[in-house]
Parts: sequence; structure tokens; C-alpha cells
Amino acid sequence: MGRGKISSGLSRRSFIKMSSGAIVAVSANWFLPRIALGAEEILIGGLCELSGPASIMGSEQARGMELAVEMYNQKGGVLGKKIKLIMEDTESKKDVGLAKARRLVERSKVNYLAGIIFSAVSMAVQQYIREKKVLFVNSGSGNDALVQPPYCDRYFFKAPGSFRLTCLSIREPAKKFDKWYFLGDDYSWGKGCIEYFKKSIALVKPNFQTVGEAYPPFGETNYAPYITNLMAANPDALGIAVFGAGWARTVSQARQLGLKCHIHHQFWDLNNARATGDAVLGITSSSEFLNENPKAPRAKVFTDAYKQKYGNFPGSLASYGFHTIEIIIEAVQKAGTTATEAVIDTIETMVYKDSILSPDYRFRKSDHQCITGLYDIEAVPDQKYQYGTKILHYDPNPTVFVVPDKETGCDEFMKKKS
Amino acid sequence: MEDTTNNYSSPEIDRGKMVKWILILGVLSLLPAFFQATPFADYLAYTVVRMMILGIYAMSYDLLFGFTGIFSYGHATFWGCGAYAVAILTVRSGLQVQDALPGVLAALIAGAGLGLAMGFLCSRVGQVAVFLVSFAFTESIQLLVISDPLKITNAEDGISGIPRETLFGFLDIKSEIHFYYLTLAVLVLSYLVLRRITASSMGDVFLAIRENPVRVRFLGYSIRRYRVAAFMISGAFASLAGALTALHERAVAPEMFNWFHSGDAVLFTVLGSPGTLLGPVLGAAIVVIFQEILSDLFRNWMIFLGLSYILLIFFLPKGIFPLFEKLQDRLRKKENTPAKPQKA
Repeated sequence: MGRGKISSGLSRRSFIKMSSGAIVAVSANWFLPRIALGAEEILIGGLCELSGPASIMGSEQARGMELAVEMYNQKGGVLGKKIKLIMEDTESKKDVGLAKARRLVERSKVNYLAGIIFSAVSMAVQQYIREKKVLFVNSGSGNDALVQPPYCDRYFFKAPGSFRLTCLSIREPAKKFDKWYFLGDDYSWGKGCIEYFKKSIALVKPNFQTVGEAYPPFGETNYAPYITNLMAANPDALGIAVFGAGWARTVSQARQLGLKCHIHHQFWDLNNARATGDAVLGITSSSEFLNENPKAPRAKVFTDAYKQKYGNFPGSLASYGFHTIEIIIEAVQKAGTTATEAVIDTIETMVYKDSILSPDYRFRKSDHQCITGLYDIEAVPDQKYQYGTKILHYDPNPTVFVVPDKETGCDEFMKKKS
Repeated sequence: MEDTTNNYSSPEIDRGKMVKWILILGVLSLLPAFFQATPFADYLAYTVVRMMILGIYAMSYDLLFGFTGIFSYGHATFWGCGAYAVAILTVRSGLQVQDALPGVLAALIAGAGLGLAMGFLCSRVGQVAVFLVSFAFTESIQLLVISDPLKITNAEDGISGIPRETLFGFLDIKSEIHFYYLTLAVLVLSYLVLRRITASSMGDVFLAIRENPVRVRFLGYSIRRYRVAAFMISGAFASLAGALTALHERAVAPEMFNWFHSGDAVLFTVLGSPGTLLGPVLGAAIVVIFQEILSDLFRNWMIFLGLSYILLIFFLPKGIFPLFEKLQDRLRKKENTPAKPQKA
């Protein structure tokens, strides 16, 4: 075999020539415009955290979106047009998320954008869509900063409820417990949740005691040192605000190490509960989505369709992804046009009576924050889902901690731009 | 006996080089016009600007690794520092700075300053330790940015809404096309400056340190000083790239200090061919093109991206740039080969 030959009959030079030709041929595809074919399709850009620390939840969110698009297309699409979802991975990074948003808007020429969990990524994209006047519905961030100046905008809607409101659910267990320890992710969401846990508890028990708090880094795998410390503080109850894989880790490790006190988690998620195992039983939490919800019958339709397509039950992120597509498509249907301004005007005034989250789901015109019901729940065994939820309390429109309509400071940002 | 050989090209080859450069710059200058003929002119301009910025970043690393032989894994420090210098000055400082120049100058100074610090630490340790020290330095800076003790970096949320209005007070750089030409100018200038440095006596010492540091020390040169100088120059240019990124993306985040951005610098340089300056620019362009193509074709495109890199490095161990040099030589030989005499 001669020098430079990779294998018999294939020289290095030949390989390079073939590879170059293949790359040119494949890259020609890049220049084929991925735009709506003769405007017969409605393009929605999905921006999800498909890799990185939030990949599990981001992937679930993406699946929810894909299911929604599939179900609409099975019914013929909307306004006689099929819907096409173009998914991009933000890699859980702000710079990548922004680059992918540009790709979707400027290259793929999508009509609308949806997705994103990390609020930092959303903030960057929000600044961009403001310039491009593209409708963007966030489907995963609880951070209220997104609907406050300078980020609030006419072209931006925040589909998940405020994290401040989901913290309110701690009021239920707070009625019974006095001494609290708090464990939150060491970033703005985790710290904000702990702050609002305390404020929420104070509403029902002003003299409660904080016996300790800790902020492990996001994505921590070993919570044992934190749990050991909290056990030493001897709390009556533990309030947790930990995202991603840490959800299951904190609860299961806490019980494995012998923690007996009550646990309250900031948000409920079925898949995290299943990953936790029986340690999840008895914990209290809050949720905007329940797999079987007498107040939102379509939740079961969604749950069964998701199970049929993907083989497992949907968690809350899948429901947000699904619901976000519904927000956009139902508004297009009602507006009778895909024109962005008309769709925005429709979303601002529309009540989503058949939402899979709660009845009468809608948005505030002042800052485009959603108004949705909140379920305080307790984890119980369930034959079908393995772990189900018992509703302790339902609040159709929690307003505590919500900035009043006239004080949002978003008026300038909500005006129609020429 | 006087050495009559020299390293200077003949006038014919110099003319050839000039024509080549004029052609390349001409094509790059006319690209935006070509983009306008497509439905996504802005996105194409955006992508090529990304390539050029990464090209500056890659050249800065080539000075350190390719010319001086320092295998640093902390280049993201300068990248992030340059970006944050612009962001803090224009958004967080309260000074209402709209022009890009102060931010860019601040980035250059900050980059050189951090280069001094990192160079000071890295010049005192062995090769393997340089990798670890530079890596740890970057991680520390990232943690500092996230913890935000001075309340200027906005912690993990980063800074958005960076203005991009003018340069020097009158040059409009708001549009994607105008920013394209600015970036092209900066790329060319950066290359010329770095070429000048590497061709100078300082550049000779960098190369000598790369090849045989012991001998250089015996010749009386202070290796430490030259290594620190390499870090400072490299840091300044990498920060310049970071500053351009901040103006381009209009947002910065702590992830810019992440180790994978340091890895990008290594990848561009190794892929392109270290010690050539232009090779890493080419490496950066190829990586961006691969990312664009593969992410179109596959959902889990990062797996295929990694495989592509392995294949490229396996089959082109010296990088891609030598291929172009070979092609150039072949073309030159064809031009210079006299025609065969015809048989009677």
C-alpha cells in the first residue's frame, strides 16, 4: 500500500476530493429557502433546550409542541394551511439561543416563535424579536423579569405563570409547620423562589421561623452535605426550589439520608416524581397542569395522546409546549389571518376556555403575563400514573404578589410600532 | 561566504500574492451584494460576520499556540472580557455611551491586562500546568461574573440590549451590512498587525521559544517576558473579537467564559493549521459552515459535528491550510513551467 493510501484503492487525495464534493452537494441544501411554500404553510419556530443542563425538560417541551402541531394538522391545519414546526436547540445558552432565533426568523422565515425555558436566553431573544416585530410566546420561564421593563413587549407573551404565584402553594403546609429550612438552586430563579416562599408563609403564619437556607449550584449531583446540614437544623418542613435533575435528587437523597420532615417543592412534575420514586409520596407542591383535571377536561385528551405517541405520560413542560402552540394557532384561527399584529390583538383579548391548563386561561394586556389557575397539590399513589396528585386547593386567579395592571410600567413597550 | 539565499519572494510572486489578496478581498467585499439577491441577506451577512469574528479570535490563539507553543486552555477569558467590557460600558455603567469605540478600546486594554495576569501565572509553570492554570483562571473569572459582587455584570442573566449605533461618532454600524464591512476591516487589520508581529524579531523569538526554549534561554532571552508579551497581544486581539461579538449579538452572558469557547480556539487553530494565522481563520469558517449544515440535517447534530472533526484531523493532521498552499504551489508551477518544445 503506497504512502498516503487510506485503504487499498482509496488515496488520501481521493478521499479529500470525494468529501469536498459531498460537502458541496449537501451544503447546496442550505441555500434552498426554508420558507413557506407559496404561503401554504404556517411556520412556527420552536426554540428548546435540547442539550445542556435543561435538556430533559427542553426535550419534553419540544415533544409537547410537536404533538400539538401534529394534532392540528390531522384536523386540516388552520385557515386551510398546514402548520410546520421548525425546531432549533438553544443548547441552554444565551448566545446560541439568540443565534438560533435569528436563524429561524431570518433564514427559515418563521411566522412565530415559541419555546425557551431559561429566562436569560429568553431575555436575549426578546430584545431581538422587538426589533424584528416577530411574535414570540415563551413556554417555560417563570421569571417575572421577562414581563417587566425593559423586557416586556407587545410582541412577547409569557405562557407559564409567575414563579411568585406558584410559590403561594406553600401556604397550605405552612398552616401546619412553624420551622422551615429552604433549599434553592443558586441562581435567580432558585433565590427568587425562596424569597417568595418566605413571603407566602408569612401571609398565613407571620411568626414562622427560618432555621436555615442553602443554595447548591444548579446541576449539583450530590446534595448530601446540604441535607446533612439541614437535618442538623431540625426543621418541621423543607421548602425546595430546585430545577432539572436536581428535583428528583434532592427529594430522594433527603429521604435516603433519613430526613423525616415534610417536603414542599416549588412545582410539580410527573416525570420528576417518577424518577424520585416513593420518596415523593406526601410532598406538597403547586402546578398549573394536572394530567387529569376536572376543571380542564382536555388535559386528559392531551395526556392520552402524548402517551400514545411517546410511550410515557407528559409532565408540566410538555403541557407548556403543547399549550403554547395552541395559544398561537387558536389566535390565528380566531383572527382569521396569520398577520402578526392581528394575531397579537387577538391573543390580548382571547379567553382560552378549552385550555389544557385551566379554564379561562388568558393574558393581561398590560404586560402579556398569563392569568391561569393554580393547583395546590399533594403527591399520592396512582394506579395509572404511578404518582398522582390530590388537589388541596384551587385558586382560579391568584393575585397576591402580582403587580397591578396599571403599575406594570410596560405601557410604552406595549404600543403598536410603526 | 555570503549567504545568497533569502526568504524574500521574487517580484513576480509578490505580484501574484497581491493579485490573490485583491481577489479574496474583492470577493469578500462583494459578498453582501450577492446576499441581497437571496431571500435571507441579513442572515447570510450575520453568518459571515460570525465567521470573521471567530477568525480574529482564532488568529489571536494562533499567536499563542501556533507561534509561541503555549497550549493555553483559557482563551475564553479574553473573549468574555472583551464582550463584557462593551456591555458594561454601554448598558450598565450609566454613562449613556452609544458609540462603539470606547467599548472596543476598553476591551483591548482589559484583554491586554488579563493577558498580563494570565501570562504572569502561566509563564512560571510547565506545559501541562499551563493548561490547568489557564483553565482554572477562566473558571474563576466566570464565577466572579456570575457572583457579580460589584453589581455590574447582572449575574447569570447576562446583559442584553447592547446598543450598536456608530463608530468614531459618525460611521453608522447599525445595519447588518455596515457591520459586515466594519468586521471585514477589523479582520484584515488584525491579520496585518499579527503578521507584522510574527515576521518581526519578536516573532522570531516566539518561534524559537516554541522550538527550543532552553536554547533561547541560553542565548540570553527572558522567556518569561516573551511569553507574557504573547499572552498580552493574544489577549488583546481575543478581547477585540469578544467586543465585536457583543456588538454583533447585542447581548452577553457568563457562558462566554465557558471552557468550550476556549476549546473552540484550539479547534479552529488545529483544524486550520497552527502557525499560519490564515489557517485558523479558515478553520473557524469551516466549523461555522459545518455547524450550519449539520444542524439542518440532524436533530442530534453535535454527534456528527464531533465525528466530522475526528475525520478531518485524522485525514488532515497538519490542518486544512497546507491543502491551499499545495494548490497554490501547483498553480504557480503550472504558470512557471515552460511549454515543452515541439518535436521536429
